[in-house]
Amino acid sequence: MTCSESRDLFVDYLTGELEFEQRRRIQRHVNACDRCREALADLSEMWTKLGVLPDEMPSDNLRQRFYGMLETRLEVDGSGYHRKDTPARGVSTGRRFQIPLYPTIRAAALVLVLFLGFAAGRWLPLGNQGRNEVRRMQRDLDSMRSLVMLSLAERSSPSTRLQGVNWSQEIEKPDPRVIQSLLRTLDRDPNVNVRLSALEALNRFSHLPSVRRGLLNSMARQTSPFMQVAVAEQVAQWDQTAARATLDRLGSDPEVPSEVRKLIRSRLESTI
Amino acid sequence: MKGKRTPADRDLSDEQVMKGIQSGRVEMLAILFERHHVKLFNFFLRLCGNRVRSEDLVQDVFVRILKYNHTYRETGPFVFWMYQIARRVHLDSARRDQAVSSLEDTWQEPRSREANPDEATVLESETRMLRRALSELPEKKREALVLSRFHDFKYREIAEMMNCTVSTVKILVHRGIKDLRRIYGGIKGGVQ
Repeated sequence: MTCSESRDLFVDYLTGELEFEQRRRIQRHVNACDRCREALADLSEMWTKLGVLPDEMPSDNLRQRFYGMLETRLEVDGSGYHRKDTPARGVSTGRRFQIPLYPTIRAAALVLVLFLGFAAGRWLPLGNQGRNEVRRMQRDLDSMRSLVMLSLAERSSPSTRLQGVNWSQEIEKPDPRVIQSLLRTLDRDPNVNVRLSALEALNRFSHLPSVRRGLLNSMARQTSPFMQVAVAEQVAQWDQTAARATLDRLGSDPEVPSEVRKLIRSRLESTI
Repeated sequence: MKGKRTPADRDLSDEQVMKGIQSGRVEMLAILFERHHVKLFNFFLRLCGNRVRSEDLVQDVFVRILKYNHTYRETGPFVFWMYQIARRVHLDSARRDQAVSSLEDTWQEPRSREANPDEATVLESETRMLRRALSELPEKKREALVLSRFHDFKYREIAEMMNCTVSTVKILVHRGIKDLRRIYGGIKGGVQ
């Protein structure tokens, strides 16, 4: 192998695109040729340096914009606008409706149209197709929000995990994975603000048996008295006995800071 | 049922997710976003050196994935198709903004690095010089080098993306790395 042939293959050598035998030939050549050995070492050094160039993280703005776009798209799809195959119903293809010219009549007509629109929306039943569209749109939105919430919940940054918990507040009907993730966050997240947000988010779903079970178990799992009190206060909304037992224990525990015990006593006297 | 998510969604391959999007489950685009947006951001950042523009371009890629999802064929890897879109997005943006050819004006130092060079570690200083050197490479060499080094594409794939021959890609990568070494040496010499 000549120096020229060898140098032509140096980059392939670095990118790993060479067969075993070709690699061996280059290695043999550079072992015997000082100049080629030096040239390969230079390229290799640069190639390796590039490899340790760290990835930059985009700002949170990118994620917000993306999900804003996706949500808009789901809403547009759900309402049937911009669909080539299903033109919006009720759009006249003939002469446009003209509003009377006189300002007072125009204003009165506008009020009447608004009232009729409100009344129709409030009292007239949606057709089956309309109802299905709305349900499908809601499902799609819930599905997307659940996915976002679950993926953000695993992140290392507390602010990102907090964003994840906040996404769950938008979900109408959470699937079991969302509930499990919120309960896991409540029990294990190292950041107290994230745990409190998870507790607040779970409050919306406290009618679900799985959430009630999770909150009851969580009272015992919380390591901070502050969080135990917060969870117990939520539990008290539907199970005063269980909440009182936890608060009684905390209120008489000498390990619990005196301020927290004082808080517990005042809660026991006033609300539970 | 449309819109219903199965527990295995997170385990789906990119290609399976695309199939879902093509069948109308638009919300599944979120899976692809979470998997690829950081890599795409860095792809654009290494090409144009501007954080705000790179975020705009990432957003544009996902808008186009939705818009042109019907053109994706399951026979090829999704990532390859996505980077083809990313290249076009970057080219369109460069055409719109001629100033992109002069990275001197647009290059931004990475975020959250040491503000005072005196306090920066050797590694951070090297990283900064490397980014700077990369930004000064001619466009095509930079693109071929970035696709090969940071995104693990084979010459054959890069050639298809860049609409040129495999030999051309090899030359671009080879000369790119040599030029980079020279530029980097110049920057380092100037700093010391």
